[in-house]
Amino acid sequence: MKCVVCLKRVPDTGTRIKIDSSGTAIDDTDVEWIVNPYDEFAITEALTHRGSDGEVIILALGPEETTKEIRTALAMGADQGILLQVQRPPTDPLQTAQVLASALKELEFDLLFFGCRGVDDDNCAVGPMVASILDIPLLSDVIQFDVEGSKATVQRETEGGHEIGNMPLPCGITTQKGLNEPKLPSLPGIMKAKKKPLEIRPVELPDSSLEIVEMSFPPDRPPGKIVGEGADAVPELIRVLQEEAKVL
Amino acid sequence: MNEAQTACSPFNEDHQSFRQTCRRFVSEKITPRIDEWEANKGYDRSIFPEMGAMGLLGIPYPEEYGGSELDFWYSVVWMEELARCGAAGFPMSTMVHSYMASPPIERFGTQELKDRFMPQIVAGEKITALAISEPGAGSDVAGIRTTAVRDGDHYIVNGSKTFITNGTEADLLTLAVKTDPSQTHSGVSALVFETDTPGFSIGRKLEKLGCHSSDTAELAFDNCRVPVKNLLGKEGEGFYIIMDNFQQERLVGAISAVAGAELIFAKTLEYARSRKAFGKPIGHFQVQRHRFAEIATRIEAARQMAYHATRVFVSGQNAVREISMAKLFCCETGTWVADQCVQTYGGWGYMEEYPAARALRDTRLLTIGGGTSEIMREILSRMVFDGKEYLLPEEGSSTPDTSGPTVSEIFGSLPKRFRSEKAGDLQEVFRFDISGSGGGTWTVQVKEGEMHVREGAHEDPGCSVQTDVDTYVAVETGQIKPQDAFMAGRITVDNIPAMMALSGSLSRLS
Repeated sequence: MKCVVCLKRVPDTGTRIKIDSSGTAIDDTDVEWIVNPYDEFAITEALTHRGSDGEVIILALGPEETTKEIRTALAMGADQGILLQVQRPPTDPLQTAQVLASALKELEFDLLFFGCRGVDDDNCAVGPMVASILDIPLLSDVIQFDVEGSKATVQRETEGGHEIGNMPLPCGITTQKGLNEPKLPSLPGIMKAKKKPLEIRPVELPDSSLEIVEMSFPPDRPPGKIVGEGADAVPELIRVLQEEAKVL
Repeated sequence: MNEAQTACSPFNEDHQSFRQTCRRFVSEKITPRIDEWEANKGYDRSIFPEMGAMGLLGIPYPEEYGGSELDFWYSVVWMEELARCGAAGFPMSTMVHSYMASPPIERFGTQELKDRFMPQIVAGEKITALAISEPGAGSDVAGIRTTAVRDGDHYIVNGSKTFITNGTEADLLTLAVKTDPSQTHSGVSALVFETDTPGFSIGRKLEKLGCHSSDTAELAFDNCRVPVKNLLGKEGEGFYIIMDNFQQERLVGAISAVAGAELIFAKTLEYARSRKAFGKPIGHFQVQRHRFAEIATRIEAARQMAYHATRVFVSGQNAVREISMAKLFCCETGTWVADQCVQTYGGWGYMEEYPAARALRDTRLLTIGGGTSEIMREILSRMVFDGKEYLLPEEGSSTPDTSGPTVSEIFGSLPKRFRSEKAGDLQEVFRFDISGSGGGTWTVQVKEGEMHVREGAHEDPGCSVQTDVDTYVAVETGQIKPQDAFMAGRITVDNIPAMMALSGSLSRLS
């Protein structure tokens, strides 16, 4: 199978995020960058469907530094990388989808993988948008994925249950936690990744009609309250939950 | 790391990328299990193949064995990250496997032996241990008593070993034996021993002060047959094969000590930010804050010393001085830091719920294992005071340097070097007690303008001299001035005028 995984470079989930002076973007000094954790499921899944004569291509849109995250994916076992290089990644998912789709048109893939969402902007939008532009089927939030011949069987998470569906190839999925255990890059993998092909293509972003007006942090959570200790505290706890929190 | 630290760091982008892999592996696969292993007094061996699959057990080894053959800084990264698992025992077991027990096999084993065992060692399918210490011999390697007697194409091994890390789990031992019990250093040989050999048994698993997630055992050998082809190097080269690896082993100790100190210090800072006393976090009290400044400074000094020793080691130069200093300082700093951290935690520092108690008992091993602080000071004092140089065997050659004269050759040369015209009216019996391998007792008599030398104790001496082989040879060959050796307390003489007259009457050793 020829598999393409679209990868995003995101701030490490442990990074303390600051908003820059414009008030509409994060301040990226001192930010540690990583492969979007949901994309790790996508890469791992693509590797299991590659087969002996297939390949896994990593496609990413981002600044030049994104080569580091692409190398990580190559170290996990992917075969080659393509960076669609821009100065700053777009905040409009439609711009991202349009640029990715135009590169994907040339690749003639069988399977297309995305993480179900980027942990930075949480739009959950790029995968479905790309599939829509390319006019191929895509199912999102996939937790089980099997391919037989030219048909893919998918199990996906829905509100309160599971859904099973079929798609003809070529098709795409967005990957959800539970699909697999992400592969860690091994040391020999890291060494081999240095020699794998990684192409950098500068691209222009299409116009966007989306504007970020303001970014702000959620308000601080009110401090907790200790009502007592052990069984003696139960009556007071019930009173507080009923009268103050009004959850009982 | 801030920008300045990044710029001065010995680690490049590849090292850092490897660090991410190590960090995740440790936090996902080891840290969640470490408390269980501590409680069980040993790790679950299924972790070894997992580490093998990640390439973590083959960092320095050739690709033909499944390794990555990378510079030592990658190993440093792995040691630093492994220390973050929160206990020192399991990391020690891993380090023994990769950096202490298996290097002699890779370096001195025959091709057949390496082809057979190295791929399994690198994959973590076979666990290795280094079996040197015995109930009666620790730092004194030449004093071991486990024997290997040749019987056709086998050795018959008998004896016992103790304090063996990985002892209950090991499939392979790098085993020090005496192939010639009549000799000291030159009677030691090294064998690869497979623990499924009949006659081998694990005496008992030892109860330790700390490092509980690592097993330590006594091993017994009862007429075990080991193929001669399992010999490392040649017969009699065992002592040098073991010594050869000491520098790397000590460097590993120093680096791990710093990494462990850093971890417990970070946890202590966290605690000092949240724990309140007298209405504010304890970290706001100056007495604690100054303690933290002191700890941070000493950790940084230790780290830079370990990194410097690594630089010298990686460059291929003789690093005995730097590594001995790093082992001494980093390990003593490690135990000091753990003690200071317990103090900051106060009563909770003494309780198992918090990590300081474990750190304290684990770090206590640092100044003992892999060469005690006393041995490090001894090596260093010989270097800084006596001007001694420790030369390492050349790469690929384990043959000891035998070019210097032996003690008996020196005594044999004395009558020829005696100049009666310079001796004045010296009439005296001298008794030399030379300790150590190749030493012994010698009697030198100057009588009526002639010198007589005999081995053993004869006549009543008017002047007794005590020293060790190294010092005696160094003095006689002009490497150390006799007065320096005397001042350093390495020679004792009870009749100094007679000794000076004797020295003055001898021409130099040619």
